[in-house]
Amino acid sequence: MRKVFFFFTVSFVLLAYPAVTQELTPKKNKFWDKFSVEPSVEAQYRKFERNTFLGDTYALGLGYRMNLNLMVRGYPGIGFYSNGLNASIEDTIFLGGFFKKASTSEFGSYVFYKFNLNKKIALSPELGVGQLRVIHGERPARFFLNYRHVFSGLGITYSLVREKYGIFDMNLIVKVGYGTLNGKDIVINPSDQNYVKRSTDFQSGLGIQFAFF
Amino acid sequence: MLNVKKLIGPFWYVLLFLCVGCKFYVDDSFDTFLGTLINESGLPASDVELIFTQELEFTDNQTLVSRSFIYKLTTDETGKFKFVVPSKSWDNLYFLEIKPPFQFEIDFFGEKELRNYIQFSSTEKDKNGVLILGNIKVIQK
Repeated sequence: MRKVFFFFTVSFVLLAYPAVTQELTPKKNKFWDKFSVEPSVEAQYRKFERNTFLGDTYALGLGYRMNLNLMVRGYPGIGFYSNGLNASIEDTIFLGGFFKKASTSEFGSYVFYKFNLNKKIALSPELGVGQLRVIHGERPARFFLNYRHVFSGLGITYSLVREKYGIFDMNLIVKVGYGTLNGKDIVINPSDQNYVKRSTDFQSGLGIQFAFF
Repeated sequence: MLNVKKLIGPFWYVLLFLCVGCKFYVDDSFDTFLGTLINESGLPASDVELIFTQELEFTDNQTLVSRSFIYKLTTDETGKFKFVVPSKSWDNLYFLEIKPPFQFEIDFFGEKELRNYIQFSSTEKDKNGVLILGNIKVIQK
């Protein structure tokens, strides 16, 4: 459901933005002149810390991540993201062998600031929070584990196309990030709480970003 | 005439019941079963193989044995064992099977009885999802 909502939000922004900018340009509105919308799609690689439940239990495959950045040039911006990865389950003493496969989905938001190094390359450090859900099994017998994710990251964009049709730039984007995960609502025996509830993760991504202005 | 507005309230309750009631697993929740095996002298019974299962079936000689297993483990030097599984909304009955030459000695309505399995339900767990089975006596035949 979240993915559908996210898809329609991104689509709406992409379709509506040219109309909005055409309407506003003659009025010389300074805010909208500097306003930029930057949707992007990335292939994502993610790894959880070993010697934690997440790291020892799930072998993650390659996944996707969709971002939507909103910013006024010269100011910090806000971004929203959603991602998903499939995982295979390693031998574990916690899941009882009830599930063959698992997947993860996450959504959240972050703040970022874009530094232009030159005309082609920009750096954007970010700080964000999200909600990770590990999904086991098939409907209707699905088992969810929820983790809060606090992360920091760095995005590097390289301009591939500038001012296409006077509407958007197209950039190559590389992202790396590191975060902590906390499943504080998980109920489990006291001796296994630290192992199951806490972890850290490393994320990296490569994708394409469109910057509408 | 049918008053649709009056049906909206019960409709949401039914929908909520279906959504919550149909969930087989309880999200963010694990059940833990803890216990210790002791021998006839009351000392820890180490290196005893246990089978944790939800499926028992009768053999030809009317003995219950596991058809499949969730976990198989061997007790440590203190006789302790621990099993952890995702919590279920129902289907909470589990069995612990022991293989010959060992048998569990259980109190069956005041009578001592030897069996190759014991059963327990995770509905009696505490707030951390832990069900303590305590000391379980095993007899070696």
